[in-house]
Amino acid sequence: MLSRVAKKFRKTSLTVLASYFVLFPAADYLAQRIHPAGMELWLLAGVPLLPLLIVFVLMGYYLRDEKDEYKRDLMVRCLLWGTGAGVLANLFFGYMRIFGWKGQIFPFTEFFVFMLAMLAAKFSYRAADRVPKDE
Amino acid sequence: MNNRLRVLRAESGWSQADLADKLEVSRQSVNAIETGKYDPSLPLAFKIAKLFGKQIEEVFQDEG
Repeated sequence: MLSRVAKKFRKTSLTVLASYFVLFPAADYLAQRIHPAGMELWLLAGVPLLPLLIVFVLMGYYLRDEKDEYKRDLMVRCLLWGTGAGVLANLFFGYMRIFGWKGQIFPFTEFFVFMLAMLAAKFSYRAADRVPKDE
Repeated sequence: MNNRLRVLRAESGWSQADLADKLEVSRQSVNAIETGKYDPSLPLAFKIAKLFGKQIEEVFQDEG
């Protein structure tokens, strides 16, 4: 069962993430229209990142406010798995390019690896820590 | 770390949910501590010991 803090985090982060589906198309439309270069390009590329940045900040607030230390520990462990997997994916494709691979990967592959690894960790811990019927 | 949490809880006639409410944690956390999957922090360990009216060493024992 989710704590009050966890419910608030889930509700707020989902709302923020929904804004991604507005910001990314808007930034993409603008990029197609003005063909940005230099600083304009850097700033425009940062726009779709804003919701994700906010979610990471919200995660920090969750870890600060959650009273249940075990739940905090689980969240940190899932984040660690996700981050490790994302970094490894990034390194792997880096080595592929260094060793001569000329192919292309989907631009957000590392991010999806990060999310999938976090989810996999969450469900693994949930299965391993299945709580039996109360005595 | 070994602990006598399950025994003390049973002696007090509390369910895991009852103990979780008193400690302001989830039942999942109580179960994780009882089964040894998770060692509580010092503040939580003291809170548990105080709840049962015991010294912390009477609730938690080092495995070594």
